[in-house]
Amino acid sequence: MASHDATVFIVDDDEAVRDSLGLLLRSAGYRARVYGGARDFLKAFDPRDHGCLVLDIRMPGMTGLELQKHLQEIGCNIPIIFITGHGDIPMAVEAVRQGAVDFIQKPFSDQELMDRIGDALEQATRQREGELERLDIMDRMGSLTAREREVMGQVVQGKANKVIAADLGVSQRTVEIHRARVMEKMQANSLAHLVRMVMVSENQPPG
Amino acid sequence: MPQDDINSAERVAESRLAALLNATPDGIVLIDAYGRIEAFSPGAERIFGYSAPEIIGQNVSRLMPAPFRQAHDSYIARYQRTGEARFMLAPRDVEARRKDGSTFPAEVSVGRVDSEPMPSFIGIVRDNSARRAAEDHLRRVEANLSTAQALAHVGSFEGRWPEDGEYFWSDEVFRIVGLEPGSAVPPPAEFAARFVHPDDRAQVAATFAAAMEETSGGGELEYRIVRPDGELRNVHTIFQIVEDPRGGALRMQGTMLDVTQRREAENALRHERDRAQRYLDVVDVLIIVVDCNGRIQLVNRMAAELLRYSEAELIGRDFIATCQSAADAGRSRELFNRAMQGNLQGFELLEEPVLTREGHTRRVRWRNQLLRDDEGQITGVLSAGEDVTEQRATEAQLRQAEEELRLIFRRAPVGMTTLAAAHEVDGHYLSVNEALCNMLGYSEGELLSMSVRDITHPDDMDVTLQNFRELLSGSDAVRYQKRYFRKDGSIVHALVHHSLVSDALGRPIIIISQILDRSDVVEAELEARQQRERLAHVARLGTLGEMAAGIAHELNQPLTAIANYTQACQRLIGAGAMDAAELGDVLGRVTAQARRAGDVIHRLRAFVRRHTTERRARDVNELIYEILPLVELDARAHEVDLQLELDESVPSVQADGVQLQQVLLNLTRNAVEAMSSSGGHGHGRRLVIRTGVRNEDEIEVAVQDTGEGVPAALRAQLFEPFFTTKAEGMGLGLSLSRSICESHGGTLRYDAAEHGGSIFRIWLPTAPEEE
Repeated sequence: MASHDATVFIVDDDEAVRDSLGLLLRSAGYRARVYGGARDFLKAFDPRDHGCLVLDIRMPGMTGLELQKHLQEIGCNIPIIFITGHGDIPMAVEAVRQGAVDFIQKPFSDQELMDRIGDALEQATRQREGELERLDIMDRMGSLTAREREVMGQVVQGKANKVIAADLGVSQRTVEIHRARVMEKMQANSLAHLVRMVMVSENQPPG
Repeated sequence: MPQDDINSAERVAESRLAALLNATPDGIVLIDAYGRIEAFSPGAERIFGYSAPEIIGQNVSRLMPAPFRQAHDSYIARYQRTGEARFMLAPRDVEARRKDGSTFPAEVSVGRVDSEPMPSFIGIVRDNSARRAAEDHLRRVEANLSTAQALAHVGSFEGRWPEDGEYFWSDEVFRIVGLEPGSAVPPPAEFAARFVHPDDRAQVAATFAAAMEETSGGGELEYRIVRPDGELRNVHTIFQIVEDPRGGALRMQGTMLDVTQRREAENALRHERDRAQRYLDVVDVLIIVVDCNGRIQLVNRMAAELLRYSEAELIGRDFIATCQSAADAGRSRELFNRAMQGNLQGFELLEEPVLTREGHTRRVRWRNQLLRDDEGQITGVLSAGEDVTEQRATEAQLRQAEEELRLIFRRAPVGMTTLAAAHEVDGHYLSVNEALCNMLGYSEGELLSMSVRDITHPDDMDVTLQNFRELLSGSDAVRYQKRYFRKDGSIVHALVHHSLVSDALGRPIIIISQILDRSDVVEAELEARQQRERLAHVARLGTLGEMAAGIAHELNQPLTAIANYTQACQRLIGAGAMDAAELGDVLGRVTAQARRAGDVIHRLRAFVRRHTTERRARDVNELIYEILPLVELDARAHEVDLQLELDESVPSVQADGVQLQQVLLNLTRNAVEAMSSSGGHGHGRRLVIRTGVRNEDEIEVAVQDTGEGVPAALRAQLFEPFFTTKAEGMGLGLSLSRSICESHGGTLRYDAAEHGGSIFRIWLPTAPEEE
């Protein structure tokens, strides 16, 4: 049984469905919070909360897809699992394309749901870890001098020291010294590691 | 003178005397101084009845009645004593006595004959009876005339002409004029000034002036006299100018008649007659009185108007000759003549044609009564008549119409019956026709012994009785459908038309029924209805098929909840983290969700189930509420806002609820479809269901959406069968919906909504008010 500091947020306009979902998730050891509509959820939700969102795709007022879009706009990447009814498959596919973890069709078995919630929370955790790493990298980058950041920019593009020296109008040796300082400050054990850290810092999923 | 000569002279004298005595009509009696009769002439014999021999020698006093006899004896005695004869003067009237003792007036002259030794006397006696009688008669006549004039108020007057003031008036003229009889007669000018009414003076003068110019003849005039005491008298004067028989002069003779009383009587009579005439004129019958010769004596205004003559024109004319055609006159004359002889057979009550002045014929029904005088003699006939021309014409038309109706009734190709309706409709047939016998398979005799109830389908008996009641409470005719049983037990579907026949006072007499066998039509309609119901059923299934997503969603919700609850329980129980109370609580929630799913299924089944048409008064709002869950789930499934604008005051409609709900659901389904196929998300998708009163007799149910509407080019085909814009539609929905609306006496139409979208409007007639 999983036990996390994560919370499962449930948004469904059908009271019985959300009530039973809440009970089911709590029975599985999750912390669950239920909301009757997107706006209720937004009012209570803090983007820094850790967890995932179980979202009915059809709702009066703000629909599930609209809520998804809104969260993305405010930079919240909370993983979303959509609950769909019969015939909503095209919408569900669209949701996944927009970044949803998955969708689950009613009625569903508890295992199906638990699996996806597990995935979602894993992603949430991962996201949270990635975020921590990025912040760490950003800290390290903050310790670089302007010249060092300049050299790092050239290095991660795969340029040779000689080329970089020519471009910057300094001696090759100077480039080597800067490069060693960058590797040291960024705690990079290889060029590949450095490149990855630069990509994380730029919020680009590593290729 | 010689003795012979003397003797001869004496003989001559004697024979002359004898001839004289014989010839004279008067009686000549010769007596001596002692009164003894010496000679008695033949005239005396005639007058007195004695013969000469038997009276000669007798005393003359025998010829006198008692008082004269004694007087005469004393005359004689005195004469002998004194020699005086005092009576020998002019003839004098005495009473004489005949042999038979009767007396008579006589005129006697006595002469003395001086002879020796004693004088004798000669008496000449004239019988005055005739003269006296004539004089008496004249006196009586004059007296009578005077009396008669007084009684008759007729006076007479006479005078010279031209008038010279010497006038004679009879007593009655004085009385009429108001003067004492015997007063001085006023001269004409004074008479005119004093007695003639001022207004009549000119007329009187003119009449006399005219008579004067003609010099002979006379005149007649009526004028008024004013008596000295002021009383007015009407007088009628007739006068003539005649030649005086004693000379060439002219005399005027005239009578004056007091006609005052007659005028008054005439006025009274005229007044009476006018009153009678007015009564006759007012009375609502023709009145004609004819005398025993058939001449019209009296006719009232109504009769005169009918005959087109004036009253004056008719009086005196022969009724039969004037008012009957030559063809009818003979018989009428015969009846009349018989009646005048007292034979009233066929006369007292008589209907006959009479001719008007223009020759038109009117039929008159006369009630004739003989008129008789005081002695019981028939003097004429009083006829009271009634113009029955129109009545007879109407009766003739009625008879003809009745005969035609009888024929129509018997031979009519539809069943016909009559029922007595005088009091309560007891339902027994008075008559039935051939067509009905053929329709029901009974003989006429069988049907006449049966009642309406015997052949009416029991389920239709109430409506039958209700229609009878409606008919008796004032409807002229009612029309409805009902079922009869044939003799073989099979059912006849009939269209029945009852008409009520009432008498002139509006009291019901009979009910005439026309019964049209519509079994073929009804069965065809039934077939068509079943066909429509089958189609409707298929269409309902189709509609639900289209709503599958919504239905699935609606079922998924409770099923999902149930699954969640049960799995949660399993987990909690497995972990030993749930007690019985918690479990019971959750199972309760499970049960509620199972019911919820069941309700959805139930509603679907109710809608899809085949049913037979059942029309009754329904409230459209209620019908909408019943299908609202289905509409809602469909709307929800397509993110459509549902908005109800129901007018709670709409009157009921006579409708099959399921069919109307089908129409509504079809329209909402189309609306939802129209909006969801237009792409985009749910914002602005709105489905409105609206009810309202369209007018006094119609309500409207409108279904409006915010889709793109129907392109104008397609609108004409919108209600065509198999027209569809849906990929999977059959194209029957709208066509069927419209036919359902029309079968309810209403319609279904499309309007483009103001800001895009469609409005489908159902118009339905309101149900008749239930008592």
